[in-house]
Amino acid sequence: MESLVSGSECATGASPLASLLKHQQQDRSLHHDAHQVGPRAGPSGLRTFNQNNANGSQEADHFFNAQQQHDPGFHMDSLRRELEASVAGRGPIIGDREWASQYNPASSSLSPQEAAHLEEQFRKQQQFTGPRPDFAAEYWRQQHTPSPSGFSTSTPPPGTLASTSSSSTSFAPQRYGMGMGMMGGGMMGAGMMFHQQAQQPPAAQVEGKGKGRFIELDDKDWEEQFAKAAASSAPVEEEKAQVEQPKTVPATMNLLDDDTVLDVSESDAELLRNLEDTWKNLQTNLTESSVSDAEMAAWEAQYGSQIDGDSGLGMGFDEAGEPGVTWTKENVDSFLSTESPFPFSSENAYESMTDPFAEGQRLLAEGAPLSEAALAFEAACRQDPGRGEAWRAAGETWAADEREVKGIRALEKAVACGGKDGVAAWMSLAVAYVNEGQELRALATLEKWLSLAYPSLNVPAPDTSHPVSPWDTSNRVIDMFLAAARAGPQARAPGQSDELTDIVDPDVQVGLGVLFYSNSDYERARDCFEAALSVRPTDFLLWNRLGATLANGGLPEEAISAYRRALDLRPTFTRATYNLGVSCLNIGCYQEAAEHLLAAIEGQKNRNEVGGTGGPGEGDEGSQNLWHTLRRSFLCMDRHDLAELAHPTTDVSVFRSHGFEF
Amino acid sequence: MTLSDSDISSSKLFDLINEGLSAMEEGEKKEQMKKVNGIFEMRVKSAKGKEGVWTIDLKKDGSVYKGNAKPKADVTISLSDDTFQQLADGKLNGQKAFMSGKLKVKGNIMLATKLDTVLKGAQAKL
Repeated sequence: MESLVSGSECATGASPLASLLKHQQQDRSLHHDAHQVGPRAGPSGLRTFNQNNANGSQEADHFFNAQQQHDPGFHMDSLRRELEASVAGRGPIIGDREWASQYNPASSSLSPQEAAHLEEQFRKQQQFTGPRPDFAAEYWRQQHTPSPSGFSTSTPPPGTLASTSSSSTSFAPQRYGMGMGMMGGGMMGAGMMFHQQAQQPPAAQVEGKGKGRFIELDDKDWEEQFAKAAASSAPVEEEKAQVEQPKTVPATMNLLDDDTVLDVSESDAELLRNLEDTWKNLQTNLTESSVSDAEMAAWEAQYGSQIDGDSGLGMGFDEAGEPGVTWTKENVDSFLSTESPFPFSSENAYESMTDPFAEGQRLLAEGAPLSEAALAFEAACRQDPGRGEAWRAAGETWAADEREVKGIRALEKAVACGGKDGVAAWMSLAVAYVNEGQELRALATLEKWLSLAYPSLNVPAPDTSHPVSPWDTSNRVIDMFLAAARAGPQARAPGQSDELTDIVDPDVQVGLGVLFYSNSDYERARDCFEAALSVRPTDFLLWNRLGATLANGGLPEEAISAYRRALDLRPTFTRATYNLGVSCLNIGCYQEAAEHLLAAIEGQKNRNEVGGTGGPGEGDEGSQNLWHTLRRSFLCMDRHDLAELAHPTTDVSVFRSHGFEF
Repeated sequence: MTLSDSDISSSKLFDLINEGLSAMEEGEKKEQMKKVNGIFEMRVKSAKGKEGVWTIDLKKDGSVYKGNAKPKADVTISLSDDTFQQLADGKLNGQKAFMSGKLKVKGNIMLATKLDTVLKGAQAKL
């Protein structure tokens, strides 16, 4: 188990900073290599850029001309040739390169006064719309002083830009439009020209603006050339400011030179954090060939959804298709206000007992069917609706019995009771939502949990000024959990857990695991669950979670081992048996799969049903799922006759006569 | 009758998806549709540049057919032949594909996150 802790990415290991550093390190390496900053400016930006593609080289020329007036010593020719070749050959990629290439201020061409002037303009611009103006203003300011004429000569692009801009809601100022235009053609020049220097705010803005659309530069030569070519430039003093930044920022800023410092205002820091988020994601996902594609994807996502009107970015749609529900940590407990009555079972033998809760626990321990234990817990809930632990036990038991929906209802009741069980129930709810495919809801639920478990944690508010993709939200919540992991168990609200070690809070690890799992990031999820297991090795729910992670991550054999561990600890664990069946199915062991599934179906029967005195009910969604998967196994075996029989109304013992042992 | 296009090799996946859907019982299909609740218009482009359009309807009828979505797609996903195959093989997941630009999404981006589940077979439960 030790190796799990030390090796895991999510666990804080020897020091709370370890995990942070680990992530940062990854960031850093890519930063150094790629020097990449591809700000994801507004959708319209790229669109307009693309439309201006043809004008690209024209703008480049203008820019170069403009620049050359100021820096005759700069040998543009080779660069220009390369540029033009790129422009001709690669269309949009140029634009991306611009975005991509590090935005470096022209220290050589800007005197301190000019820089200050630009900064002022920039600040003014900042009042306009969201990210994009900043970027534009950035660029704008770079361009502005040296040669206004340079701009005026490139009127066609701005002209077109303006018109196209007007079609976009956020492109109000003409100046902005022009800025964007120049950004198109000139950015590449800018990127190339400007040596990495002090003008942090622009660079920072730029990166932040784009929401960190990093794109790897294909030609590392560019960097070297520029670095060499750029004149030694005195840092623009007023731009430089020694500012203490949150831990995450320095890593991002590494993509500039090591000696650069940041002058980043609050909103910039925010952007940088967003940047960091996306960066973290991208760093693992970057591929060299899709520079422009990455941008396009982002654009299309945002732009497309804006255009279509129905922004399904969780803004307009609940995953279940109910319009108008955006799950946030504030409204995720909305079920509390609706107070729907719990669908208690009509007959419950445990109600007459004095302590059905204890009975439930006993039943679990002795290996009775889960539905029995759940019934006992339900009786306890009925006796005392304010008993959070009873609701939670009921909810978790139903979920384990593959009756997710009922489990959710009970967990909602648990949450209402508050206390430490109420808090824990949020986590179980999140898992249930993930299983049900309600990912946004799960995210909001996890956020809620974190706010209760780590109330002292300072979390940045979500950036709601522009539409976010579901992955942005996910990354934001992941960051919050990472922050909690770094803060360590000492930051946990007291009285909630007696399982904390000095370093690892297993619940935080579970939360992270669930987050990564829902992003299909199964390797990281695995690390987190393993870390949690190191603290709670007898937690069969965790073993199952690990198993599911391994299974969905494409490691069915290892998954099977994990499921077996879960079943060793709790042989009646229906869900683990089901999962075992699924994994067998996926590796082609159809007979075994069917047997596990049959065992699971049988396990779901409660005492009345066992012994054949009545078939299982027409099946709630839980058993439906089991039957469907069973049917699939039969189809895989080419046994259509058996597939025909695979219905919730069939008595499962029938299959014994067909040669299945369970 | 096959839905696939011999020039776009991953398009046989559409046949598989369709078969999977038809093999489902009504109840199971309805459940799947309820969870996904979307009409995916898939534009798959082969390496040679040929583009085909298919629609996976997991909202109205629960079927797969060739051509544009009728009446309207909830999400349009454009991707290459290779990417589609990798997604189905589990070598790539939706988020990675999207972030690296291999997947272009127009419309309800939330649905794009469900693409993984649509393509996968049986899923384990957390």
